[in-house]
Amino acid sequence: MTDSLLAEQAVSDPAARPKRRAAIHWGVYVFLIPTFVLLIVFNYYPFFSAFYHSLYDWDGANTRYVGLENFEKILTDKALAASVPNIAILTIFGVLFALTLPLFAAEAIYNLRLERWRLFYRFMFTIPLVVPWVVTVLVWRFLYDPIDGPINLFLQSIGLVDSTRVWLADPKIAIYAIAMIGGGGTGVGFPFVAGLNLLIYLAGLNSIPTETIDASKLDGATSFQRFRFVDLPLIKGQIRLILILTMITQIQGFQTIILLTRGGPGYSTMVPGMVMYQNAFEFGRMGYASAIGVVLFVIMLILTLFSLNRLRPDEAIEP
Amino acid sequence: MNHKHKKDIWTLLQHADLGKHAFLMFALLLTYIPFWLMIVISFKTRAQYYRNPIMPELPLQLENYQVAGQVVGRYLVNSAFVTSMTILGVVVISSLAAFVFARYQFPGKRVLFLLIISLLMVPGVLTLVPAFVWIKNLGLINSHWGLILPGIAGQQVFAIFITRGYMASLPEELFEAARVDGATMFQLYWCIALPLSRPIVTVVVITSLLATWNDFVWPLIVIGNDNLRTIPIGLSFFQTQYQTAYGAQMAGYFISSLPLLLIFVFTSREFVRGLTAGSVKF
Repeated sequence: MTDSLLAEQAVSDPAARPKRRAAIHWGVYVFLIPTFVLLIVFNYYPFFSAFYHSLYDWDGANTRYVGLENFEKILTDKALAASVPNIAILTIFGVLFALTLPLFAAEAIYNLRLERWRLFYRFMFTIPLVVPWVVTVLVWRFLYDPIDGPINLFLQSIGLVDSTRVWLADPKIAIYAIAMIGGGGTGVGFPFVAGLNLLIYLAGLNSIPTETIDASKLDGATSFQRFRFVDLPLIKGQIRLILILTMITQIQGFQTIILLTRGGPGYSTMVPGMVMYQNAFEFGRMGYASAIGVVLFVIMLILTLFSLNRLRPDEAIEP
Repeated sequence: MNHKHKKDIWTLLQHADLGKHAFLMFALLLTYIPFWLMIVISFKTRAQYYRNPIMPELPLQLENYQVAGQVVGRYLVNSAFVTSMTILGVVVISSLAAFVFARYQFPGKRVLFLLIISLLMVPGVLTLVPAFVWIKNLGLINSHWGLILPGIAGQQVFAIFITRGYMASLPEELFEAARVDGATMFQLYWCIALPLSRPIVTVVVITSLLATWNDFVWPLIVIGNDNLRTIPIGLSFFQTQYQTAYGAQMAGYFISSLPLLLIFVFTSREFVRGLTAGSVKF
């Protein structure tokens, strides 16, 4: 990406102006000062600090070198051990939901005959995205309320008293109750159609050249054949993007958990991010929390690189 | 005969997209149930809620909004301040850097650019704890600047990335002509690159708006003073204060949703573009 650009500009840049170019150089660095000051102070420093302090017993002020002790502790941490199956459940549900319903909805919208309806559905399915996710989660918390929540009131009113549950406080089902509203991160909510994933699929479908679609129609492809053999291969990039985004969101997400269960009851809805959060901000174990952060970072990095390995780097995100 | 008739109806149904509409409408219905209930209940007393939880009912309890507004109003003002300062910072700082990377050759360009975009791979969960201690040592705890400055620093990365791509696609002749007329580097940026990049700046503004307005974990640990809380944090505490005053709670949620909803209604096209920026060529 940078290479081709360098080449292009080298051609269009008349090389016969060495003096001016030398003068420009300094301005260039001046323009970059604010960016790098902020990056060094607020991004790079904490980044290295995380790795450094993962080797220390650290309460935020005092440090004591402990080597790899924090990482050994991770292996025997009961809360973390309990969080692994939970994160697996949330990730599996998250990926399953992200790859099915919004894709079908995007395909349905894309194939609508009237532009007016396409815009209508896109508009309506985007609105939940601009409602603050905290609001959505808090409303769901109320819907799940065991006594006054609409879900249990509804089940009672149709005579299914036996089906009522203390949705978020029953250790057997709490994690599924959370999976049903989109898991630990921010974003999607039941029924998983609305939101970013739909928009990404739609953007992908809309970028398919009309000639390709017309050609498949001329060849007599049924709508299913076109979906399977034209649309799907051409939006592979979007599918991969959504897969990565969903995995990353679920593995590091714990915002929803803070608001709904804080990991309880017991460890039944505990997730790694929540363990980190509690160790840092409730128990004051900043060093140990940093070590958990480092492990999560490495896991996510491997997953991302693994999923991206067939993408050339110069094809990365570009508007 | 009968067979042919059946086939006609079938094609008619297909032409009207009825199956697709049925599926999409059903999905819309499920999607909107929580929001419908939020609005309906925000106008009810508890007694009214127990009598009929689902449908609106007279009299509307407007005092729910009075109660909620007194609490949420301050959080809205705080969020508006933090969000607008962050957006301003992100737009100015990221466009300066993007301009330089898009239009100039200089020693170290490649390395500096890599130093910036490699941060896209660093998740918040890694830096959360050390960043908190660091901000505390800098004395930015319980201050809106403890949200604004790290917000600008983090969000500028993606912003530089997409703005650079856009600015690189502007025609060189414009800049060349201005240079011949003696324009300074700042003039090239301020009078040519920035105005012509309006579409991508809009995208940056929207991404930044959503990220800042919705940020939860960072403000939760940085801001302890109730007077300084932003919307997401304020709401989560508001919820514990007004345990069973469901009407007031829901009114508070609805009020907090309004600013972004209004912005969205007027700029939905730009919004959708902002949300999906980067997903097409992936």
